[in-house]
Amino acid sequence: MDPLEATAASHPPTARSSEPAALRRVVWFWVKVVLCLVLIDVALFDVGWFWRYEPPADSRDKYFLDLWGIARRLGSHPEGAPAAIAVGSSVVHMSASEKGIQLDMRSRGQPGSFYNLGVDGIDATGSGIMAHAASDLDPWLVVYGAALRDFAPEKDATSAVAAVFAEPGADIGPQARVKLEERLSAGVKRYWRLYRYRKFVREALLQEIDGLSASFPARAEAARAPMAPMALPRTTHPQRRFPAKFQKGEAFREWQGWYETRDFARYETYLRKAGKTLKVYKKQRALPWDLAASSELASLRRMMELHRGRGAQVVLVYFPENPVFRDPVASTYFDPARSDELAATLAGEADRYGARFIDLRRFLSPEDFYDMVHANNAGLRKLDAFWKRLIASEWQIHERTASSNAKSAGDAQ
Amino acid sequence: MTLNSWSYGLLLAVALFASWLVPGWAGTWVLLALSIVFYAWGTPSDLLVLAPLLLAVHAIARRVQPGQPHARRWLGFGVTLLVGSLVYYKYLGLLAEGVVGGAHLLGFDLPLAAPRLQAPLGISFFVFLLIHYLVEVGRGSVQPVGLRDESLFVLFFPTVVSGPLKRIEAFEPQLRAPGRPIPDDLHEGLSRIVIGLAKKMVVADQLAPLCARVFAKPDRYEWVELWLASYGYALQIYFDFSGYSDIAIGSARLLGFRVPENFDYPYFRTNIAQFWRHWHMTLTGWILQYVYIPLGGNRRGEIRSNWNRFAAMALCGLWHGSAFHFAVWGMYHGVLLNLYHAYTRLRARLRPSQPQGSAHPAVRFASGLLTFHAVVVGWVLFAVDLDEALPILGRMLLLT
Repeated sequence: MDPLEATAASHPPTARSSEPAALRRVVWFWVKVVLCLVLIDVALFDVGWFWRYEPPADSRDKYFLDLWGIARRLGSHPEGAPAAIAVGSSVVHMSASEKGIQLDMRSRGQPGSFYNLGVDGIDATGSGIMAHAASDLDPWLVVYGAALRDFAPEKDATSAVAAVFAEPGADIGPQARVKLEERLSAGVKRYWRLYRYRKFVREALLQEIDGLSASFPARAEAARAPMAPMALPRTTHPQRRFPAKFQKGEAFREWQGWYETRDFARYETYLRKAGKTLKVYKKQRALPWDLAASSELASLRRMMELHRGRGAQVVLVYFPENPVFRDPVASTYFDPARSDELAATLAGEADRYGARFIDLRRFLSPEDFYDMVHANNAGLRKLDAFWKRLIASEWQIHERTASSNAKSAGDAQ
Repeated sequence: MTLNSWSYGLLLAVALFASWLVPGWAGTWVLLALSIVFYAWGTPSDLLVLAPLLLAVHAIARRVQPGQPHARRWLGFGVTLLVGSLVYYKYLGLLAEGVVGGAHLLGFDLPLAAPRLQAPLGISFFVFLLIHYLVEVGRGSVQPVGLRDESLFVLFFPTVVSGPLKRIEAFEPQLRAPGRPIPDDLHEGLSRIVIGLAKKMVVADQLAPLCARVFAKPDRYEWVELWLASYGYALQIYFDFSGYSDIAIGSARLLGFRVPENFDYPYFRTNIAQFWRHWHMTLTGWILQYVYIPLGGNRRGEIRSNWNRFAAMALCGLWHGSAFHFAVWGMYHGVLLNLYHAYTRLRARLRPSQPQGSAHPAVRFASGLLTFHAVVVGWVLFAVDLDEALPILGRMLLLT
């Protein structure tokens, strides 16, 4: 028999019916489907079953897990409690210790919470998206920690940050969601958390499956088998901070040499041997630079407009840069003129939106860095003290403003 | 625009609303307009290939009807034009590679380099649909249709990219009086779309990176893991393609159209002939009707029918992609089909009293398992280039 005839025979046409009862049956079926989806959504994200899930430390996708942590912190903030947020790339992510700053706040009797929403590798648009995602908290303070690379001419509009947090309400710049597909996806994401956090849910399920497979007899036995004693290397801070993929042979030795001597030539040798990193630095340096027309700058403006409009204090902090990179030898990888232009622009934008600008570029000495912008332990200690002073001084301004507002309201009555 | 994208969902919603708002002949025009939007989305220039072919087939169709002067010549011209377009856009580079490679084996170095052209979206599907239409008109089984209906037959947006291959005699009557969607259509259509999305996104898309990782660097994996990846690929390709088909069938149903089924539990079949009767059924039907039977089918002796099966399956393989490993995959299935037919003939001779399909359940189960593994081995040829597939197969079968 012809396969088509066979198919037709095995799938007889359904009898057509336009009775109102049939319509009710169909509508009720799909109402039940929608109800189930809503219930799952409420159970996972309102009741909080999903947020209670603790991902193991060796999770497969650390980047998404960082974002997951941010989503969870934003979702669990007590309503009405004062919140201060910091956004930015790795310079913020590494330097602002949430726990340490909150302890300091408590010791001074300052209420509320501090959230570090910094994400490794994020650009200014990504920071704008994070700041928008936190706007439901109605923060009294928004700190944006800037670095030159946040304004690099080359960026990825469909970043993981945008994939999770961007939605149509986040009007954060012209380069995000230009495609209809992305706009539609963002529209659904705004109202349907199960879709917005689908990557997290998948990650959690995969982790659970991994956990189950580990309980299989063969694997469990392997896990119980006595392991040969292993000489654990004494890890230093740079080794812990340094991406493992670059901790290989000659490249890493050169980097260690640079770390000890602060001789840029050794850093350059390291970059050359590390291959990929070198290309990234060179590429960014070589690309045309037009800050005034930059979509990253547009995103920063939108972010300030949003939060200043809601009455928040906004602080722009230009994070420290390693002075060694101002050496002419380093000009292939770093352009001091671009840095100065960004600083002047940030100062101008802060002035325009009534924000505060702090230039920390020369805050640290070469011994406080382990690369161009990332601080080592010594540098992080200095930055930690800076963060605490900043939050304390901004809180004082906030209280003064609040009391003078209350006083003028009382006078008016 | 893929069938599992939000923009497709929006287009489908607009089409559904339009079919409710403007039923009847006007609705058909709206559906055609939306189908053109879908087809032109992203690469509008593809229309520059499709539109002339539609016009040419429309003009030729009236001349191929039985009784028309030179009808057979016109039919030959039309089919040659369509096959030529497919070869030009999809297989020219492969042909050139074949010629250069063949000449190199004979000791000649030909300075021949055919450009790799960007094939228009869905060219394999619309060329097959148009050939079917012309041949059926030539046979007198259907009358030529108007340009609008011919265009919609080809461009109907749920099926234009990945089928199922429709049949004009079943599709055209549905265009005559499309009504408003009714609850049954909405229910069946939506259910099918949800099932299709789940197959594609929950199963196929999750399996894909796992299998790709193994096939990208097979040397790093043991033979057991290569088998696991092959099983995974077998499931991935089934759930991917049948998921797409479900979305297409469901979308068509949502708009009140019936299009043929494409898959019917192919991995549960107990022999390779059964597998092909239930895997990508509309393509199998097309190959059967327009390649295998015209070649002589099984009417010209055993050797010829074996060759016909082999050639039809090689073409079927090549239809899936412009690379030699697809052709080899098709040939492999041609060999399996011939082996199976040789076995059935032998069995009929040895046990003439035993009717087909009356085997013990354990034997049927074993046959199903054997068939599935034969298909899985074939998927390795489909998944990667030949020079990578052979070492993988060697290790899977413990030959190396």
